[in-house]
Parts: sequence; C-alpha cells; structure tokens
Amino acid sequence: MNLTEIQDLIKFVAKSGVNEVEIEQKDFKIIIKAEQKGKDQPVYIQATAPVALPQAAPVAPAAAPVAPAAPVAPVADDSKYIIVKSPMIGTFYRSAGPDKDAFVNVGASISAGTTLCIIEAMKLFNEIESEVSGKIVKVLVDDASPVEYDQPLFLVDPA
Amino acid sequence: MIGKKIIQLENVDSTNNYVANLIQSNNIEHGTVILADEQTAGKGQRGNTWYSKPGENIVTSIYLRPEKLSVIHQFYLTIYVSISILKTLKKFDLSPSIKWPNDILIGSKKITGVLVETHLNKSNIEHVIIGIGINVNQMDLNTINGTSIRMETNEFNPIYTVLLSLINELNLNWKHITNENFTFLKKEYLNNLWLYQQETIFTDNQSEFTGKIIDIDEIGRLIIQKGNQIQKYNLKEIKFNLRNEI
Repeated sequence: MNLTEIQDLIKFVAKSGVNEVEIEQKDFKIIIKAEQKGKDQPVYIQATAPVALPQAAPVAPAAAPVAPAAPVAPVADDSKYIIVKSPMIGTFYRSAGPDKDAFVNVGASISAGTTLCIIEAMKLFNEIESEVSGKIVKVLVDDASPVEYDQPLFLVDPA
Repeated sequence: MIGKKIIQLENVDSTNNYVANLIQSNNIEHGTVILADEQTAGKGQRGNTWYSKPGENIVTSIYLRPEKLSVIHQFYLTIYVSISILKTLKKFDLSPSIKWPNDILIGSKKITGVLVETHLNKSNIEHVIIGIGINVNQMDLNTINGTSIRMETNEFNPIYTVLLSLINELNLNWKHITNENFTFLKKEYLNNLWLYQQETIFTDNQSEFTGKIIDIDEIGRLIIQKGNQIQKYNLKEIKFNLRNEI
C-alpha cells in the first residue's frame, strides 16, 4: 500500500462508521481506529511494514467446532443400527460439489464429527455431521433429492 | 465486531474455502473478513462458478458465530445478508430490490451473488460463512442479466469504500439476529422484495398462472395468492416468467 492508498483508506474508515479495522496483506498490516462520537473525529493509524506479519491472533479457541448436528435415533426393536435423520426440509447432497467425491460411502468408518452430507435449504448450504461413531450401512436417500424434516438419511452400525 | 480484522489476499481458490481452512486450523474469530482481488475457483450456488475481474469487484467472505441461532430460524440469515447488501447499495445511489430468496437486483439485473454455508451443532447454527460478490467497477460483464455499481451510476468507487459500508451494515443489522428481531427482519425483507404484492406471471410444475407474492413463511417459502387460493412454494417449485429470467 502506498501513502495515497493509506490516506484514502483512512477516509473510508472515517466515513463508513466502522470504528476499528485491521487489514492484513501479504507483507503489510495496518490498524485504523476511529473515535466514534462526532463525525470529524481524528483517525489513528498504526501500521507495521514487512516481516511483522503476525499470524491471526491466537484467540483462546472457543470450543472446537467438531460437534455433531444430525439427530440420531436408535432403530426399533432388535436392530442395532442407528438412523441419522434430517434436521430440516431441503435438498440432500452427498458431496461438497457435483464434481467432488461423496463425504461417506457404504462401509465407511465414521466418528462423531465426520461430515456426512450437505442439506440445502433455501440456498443455505448446511454441513451435517455425525453424532455417533460406527460404519455406514446404508445411504437412504439419493443425491440431490428433496428431504423432509426427520427423514432418515443414513443407517449406521455403531459397532 | 464484524470487520475488525480484514485479511486481503491477492488470489485464492475461493474465499469461502479460505475461511473453511482457517476454521479447521482453529485460527479465526467471529467477524473476520476475507477480501480477495481474485478468486481462481469462486463458488456460486452448487457447482456454478462466480467470475469476477481481478480487483474490480468485491469478493469477500465473512465468518460469523451466532451465540444462539436455531436451525429453524436459518432463513433469517438470508434475510440479514440481503438487507445488509441492499442498504449498502442504497448508499451508492442505487434502488436495489431483493429477488427471492437471496439475489439483489437493480431493475431486473443481478448485481450480487451470495453463498451462505453453515455448520450445525445439533439444532443450532454454530458458525456461518457468508460469501458475497458485489459487482462494483466491472463494465464488461459476460452476461446481459448482470450489472455493476459503475454501470448503473457511471461512478468509480474504490473497493474499500463499498466493503466498509457493507461491513458497517452487517454490524448494524447483526443485532437483529442476536436479539431475535425476526418480525422486524421479515418486514424489512418484504418491503424490499422484488414483485411483492404485484400481479406477476409465474410457472409452477403444472402451468403458467398469474398471482402475487403476499408473504414468506418461517422457512422462507414463497406464499403466493393465485385467484382465491393461497399456495406455498419452495425453491425450484416456482419460476418467475420474465423475459430476463435470471
């Protein structure tokens, strides 16, 4: 970033109503802080040039995002299998994209936290993870099919 | 605070993927914004690609962790994003409207692309990656159904001017999600919804018909009045019959 770009940036920050911005580029980092209150308040900047590119601040990791999502229910009577059900109405996808491999196939070993599928609801793409460990016994829905709330998606052998 | 940290990249496969990788390495905070000059494999809706000329448009992803947002309220995330983009564009002298469910139009031309990816933890949304593309300065879009801020206003705007306005709107509106002001969000959405309460020709799986959009339900389905019948439509169950269908 050259001086003019920095000056422009300060103006944008001041005008935008955002009160603190840290911008990190390949070899450059700048922190701009604006005091709120009035409109024409001074803007303070602090820039660090090359080298000093700290890794994203090591925040205390809020509980690792691995927790499961799909509700599970044991299959009735003597069956030892667990059914993974859809948490919403939407479209079921077995992979991250049309040209990608399926997240899981029959026979795959899964553990709590394994991504099983994506359910799209109104153009929101939701990754569904397993709550249980085991093996996929059956995939109950075809790729790209509509699913209802609570519809069974996978049979899992929890062995 | 959204946008307190902005990571600007020269090029990246997709900004949403970049966020997903930071999540995997546990190296990202709520509100972090990724801005790319160029995406080599920009993701659009399921397999569609999103192409933008390097440096001319906003190509960004925002990482959010709602404190508590049930999956049954997930359509409000779409509303939140749509309203935030809409209000940003209004600041640049445009009159945008929302095309159900999540496109933003100027007239009948598309100016943005949005891709929202969530990760569920039981019945709550644990985190959200919001990918937003806004055509800012590009003049030669490869579609007649698209437009940019510059094409509409003849004004050149530095990317950061638009990005910071967007960040400001995302911050202002986020409280409606955290406070669960769902009635307010829905009202804002409907008030800016393209063809809302207007006689329009639609096609459903049976036939072409005239009707009007009168509401959306809690999961975002379109509610259309068709004569004296009222019917709900999910995505892909209904099409707007317009010459410039997008």
